Amino acid sequence: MSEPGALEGDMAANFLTPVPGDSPYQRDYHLEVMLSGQPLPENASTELRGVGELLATLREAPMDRLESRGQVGALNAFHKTFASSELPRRRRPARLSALLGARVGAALAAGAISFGAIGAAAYTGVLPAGLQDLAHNTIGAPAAHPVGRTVPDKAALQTTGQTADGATRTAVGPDAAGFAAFGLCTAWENAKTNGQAADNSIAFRNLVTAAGGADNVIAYCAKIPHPGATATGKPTSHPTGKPTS
Amino acid sequence: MIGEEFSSVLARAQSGDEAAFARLWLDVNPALVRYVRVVLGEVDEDVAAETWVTVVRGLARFRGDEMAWRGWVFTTARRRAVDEGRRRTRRRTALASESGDSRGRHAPDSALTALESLDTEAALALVARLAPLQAEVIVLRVIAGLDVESVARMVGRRPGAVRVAAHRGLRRLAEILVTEGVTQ
Repeated sequence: MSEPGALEGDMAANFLTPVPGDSPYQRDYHLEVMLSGQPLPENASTELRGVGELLATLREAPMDRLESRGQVGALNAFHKTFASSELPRRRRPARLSALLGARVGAALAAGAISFGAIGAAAYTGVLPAGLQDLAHNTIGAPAAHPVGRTVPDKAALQTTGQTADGATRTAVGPDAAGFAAFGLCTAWENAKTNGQAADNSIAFRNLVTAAGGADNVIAYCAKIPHPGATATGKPTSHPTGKPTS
Repeated sequence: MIGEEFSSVLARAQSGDEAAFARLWLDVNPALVRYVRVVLGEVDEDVAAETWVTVVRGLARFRGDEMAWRGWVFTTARRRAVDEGRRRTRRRTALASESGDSRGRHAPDSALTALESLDTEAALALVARLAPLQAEVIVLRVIAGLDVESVARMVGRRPGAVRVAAHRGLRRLAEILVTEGVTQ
C-alpha cells in the first residue's frame, strides 16, 4: 500500500494511541482517508470500517423531508433580493414563479406552498426542462425529455391530448408504484399539509390507486425509499455483521 | 458537490436565475441542515433559513470556487448557530434556575436510538455525542466537504489542531460503535 508522504509532516502534531498490530502511521492515514470521503483500503481495521460506514451515511444519505423544507423561503429571499437589485434586465432569466405559471408562482411568492408543491408541478409536467431535470434528479420526478418520447406541450397537460404524431392518447401520469413514488409522496404530503385539493390530478390519482385507496396513502408512502438511497455506491451490507434490514 | 458546472451555475444564480439558485440550494442545504442538527443538537429551521437569507444578500458579490462557496455558506451557518446557541444557553440558564433542570445540550438517550439502525438521524446522534469541536470539524470535513484549512479558518484553530480534533473524534466514534454494540 502506498502511504501519502504529505501526511508525514503532520504526524508529530497528532496524539497517536498505538494499537497492537496496527501501525499508528497507517491508522492516521486511514482516518484522513475517511475524512476526505475516500473509501477505506481493504486492510483497514474492522472498527474503522464501522466508522467509515457511519461517515458514508452522513455524507451520502439522500435529502430527507426535514432537509427539503425551507426551499420556498430561500427562493422568496432570492426573489426579493434580485427583484430589487440593479442587475441588468437582459441578464436576468425568467423567474421560477414565471416558469411555474402565474397560479403556482403566486402561491410560491406568498410562501403558501412548499417544495412538495414544486414536486407536484414536476409530476404533472408543468416545469420547464431545466427544472424538470432538476426535479428528476432530486426527487425522482419524470425526466424532462424521456428518450424516445414526444416532448410534452400544453396538450400533454390535459387528460386527453394529441401528440406530435397526430395520435390521440390519454395521459397516464407518473408511475406511482415505480421510481416516481417518492416524489409523489412528498408532493402529496405537502399538498395535504397546505390544504390543497390535489386529488383530481392524474399523478395523485395514480398514487391513490397504487396505495389501494386514499386512506392507505400515508402507510404506502411510509414504505417508499428515497430514489437516491440505492444510488450512492454505499455498500448495502454491513461489514461488521450489523443487520442490514 | 456540483463540480465542473459550479462556476456557470453560480454565475447564473448571481444574475438572478432562480433555477440556478435552486440548484445551489439543493446541493448544500441537506449538509447545512445536518451541520445545524449536530452543533445545536436538533433541527433548527430558523438557523437554516436565516443562513440562506444572508447568503442570498451577499450572493451577487461572492467570488470564489465551489470550496470557497461552501466555506462561505457554512461560515454563515456557523455564525447563526452560535447566535442561536447563546440564545438557548441564556434561556436554559433561566429555565434551570426556575426548575432545577440541568440537562445537557443533547438528549441522553440519543445513543440508544442510534444503535437501532444506522440511518442519518442515528449517525448524526452519534456524532453529536462527541466533544463539540470534534463533532463540528468532522461534520465540516465529511458532510460539508471542506478541507482542513477551510475548517481551521471557520473554527479559529490551527490546521493541526483541526486534524487532531477530527482524528480524536473518529477514534471516539470507533470506541462508541464497538463498546455499544453497533459493530462487533
